[in-house]
Amino acid sequence: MDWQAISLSLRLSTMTTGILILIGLPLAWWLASTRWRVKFLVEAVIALPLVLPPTVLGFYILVAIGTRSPLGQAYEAITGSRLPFSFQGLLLASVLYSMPFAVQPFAAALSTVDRRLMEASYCLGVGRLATFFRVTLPMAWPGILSGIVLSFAHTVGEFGVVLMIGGNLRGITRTISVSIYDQVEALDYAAATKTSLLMLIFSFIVLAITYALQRKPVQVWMTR
Amino acid sequence: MDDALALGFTKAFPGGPEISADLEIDTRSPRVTVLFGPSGTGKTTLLRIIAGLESPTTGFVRYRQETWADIARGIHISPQQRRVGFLFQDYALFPHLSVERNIAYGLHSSPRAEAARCVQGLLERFQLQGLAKRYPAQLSGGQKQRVALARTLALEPRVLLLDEPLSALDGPTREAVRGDLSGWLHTLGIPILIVTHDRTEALALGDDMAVMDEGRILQHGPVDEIFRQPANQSVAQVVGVETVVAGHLLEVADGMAKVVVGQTLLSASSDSLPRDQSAVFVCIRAEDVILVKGDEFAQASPRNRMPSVVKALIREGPMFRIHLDCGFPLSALLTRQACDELELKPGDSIIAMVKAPNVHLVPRDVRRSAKADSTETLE
Repeated sequence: MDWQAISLSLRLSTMTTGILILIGLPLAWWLASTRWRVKFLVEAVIALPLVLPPTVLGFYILVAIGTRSPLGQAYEAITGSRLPFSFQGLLLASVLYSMPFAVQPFAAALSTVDRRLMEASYCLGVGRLATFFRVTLPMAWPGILSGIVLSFAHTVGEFGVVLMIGGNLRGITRTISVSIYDQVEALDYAAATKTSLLMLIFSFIVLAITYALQRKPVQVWMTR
Repeated sequence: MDDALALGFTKAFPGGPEISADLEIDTRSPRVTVLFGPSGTGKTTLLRIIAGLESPTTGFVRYRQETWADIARGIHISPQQRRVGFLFQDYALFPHLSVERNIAYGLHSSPRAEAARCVQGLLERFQLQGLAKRYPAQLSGGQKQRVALARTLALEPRVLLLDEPLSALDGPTREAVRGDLSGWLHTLGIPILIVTHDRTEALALGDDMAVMDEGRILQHGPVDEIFRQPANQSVAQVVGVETVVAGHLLEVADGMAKVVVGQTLLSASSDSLPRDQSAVFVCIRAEDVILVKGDEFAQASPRNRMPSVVKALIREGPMFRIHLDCGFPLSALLTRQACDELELKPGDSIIAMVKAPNVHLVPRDVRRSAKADSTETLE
């Protein structure tokens, strides 16, 4: 079993999910509450990874972070290293690639929260940010949790974008899915079977836990 | 007035009607003011603007010396800073918090012991002791309302706003809660504004009333005065004086007026009638119409005795509404028992009696009332 690839995948997924919570929640909150007329454009951009082939997305990201691009040059000037075929580049690509899996459930969950609850909170002297954490977030929690799990699971399972951006560097960009691909290429079916089965069990457990969590803590007030 | 909650604003909605409010409420002698009018006339919007949840399009909201909103000066004080209590129509309790945590919600900056004492006091005051650990989904409508009221009062608001406080309750509960609510509200000692479209609710809860229709406040004054002397025809229609017919004033003598409606001559009190005004609306409440069969009451005291024909009987709960023709359409409200005793049926001839003080005259074609000082008619 390629434990190095497994650990890399878990590290990549955890960091991607963390970043998506940090930028996805404010973005989703903005999408759920704005009355801006052209917000559909922002929504369409966020949803692009859902329909684009990973190779297309990967290609554009590669161009955008390449050494000839302003972004790539700026990154190199600041850190001294390059983004393509590095863990950091892979992380950036994963964040973009998994963005809709976080932002869409987040926004859907946040928009279902009754505005009057927030207004009641404002009238009780509680500020907007505190209201978000004390009312909006707890009320939207099942949907937020779905977004977190989906983006984590989606990052664990990504393949095409990883190959385009990260290539197949052992310990740096070789994730579990690339590792399975390698094993099959090398006709090492026994290893591929083991790793695939592990992925299957892992995915099932994660999803089962998600659905279980969604039901339990909120049951008291969901059964109206 | 320096001690008033003063409203002078308009609110426009894209493609919708404009709401305009011009109202002063004295905050020194706290009274319950009912904002009364049909649904969709902007009553709730008015409350939301007072609370700071919405901004007016033009104008101002002032509380004593403080300016809460002034569009011309670019002032908008946030709801958090206004300390206005807002009771939402369906109470807006936080479903994920227990009763006691709902009540304590706004007390996050108070010392813990003090907050706990405050919550305990409110639980007792609103008879919620046994329910402290329950969640809103486990409460009845009346209990939810008490929790919402307690939660609002925990912050000692300076003004209390209630949006249709009884509409979320079912019939029998509503009647029971109405009495309790009226009792609580009158002990608070702060100005209270209640939005309702229910006449019984307005009469039961309000000291004063502001009648709203089509985005405007038509009249503002003590509740009974408005029901007895609507300032104009619109107010009469909104508050539900059942019979409103056009008439002509013939003469005024000794505080009594003679009006003619079609062929019928009526006596009315003339205390709110302007001079030089012969066109009037005659308003008669259905409760004030007495029906008599035969001639045995020829010596009765009511000045107005009109031979009528019964047109229709319509059941309204325990009452019957009788549509009559006495030269003009007249509506009467009778108990079922009275109806049975009179053996009323459509086509019957009957005498309808109305005491002169119960015939109210409202100037016609004039939008401003005679008692302009006590009303807030907007042009």
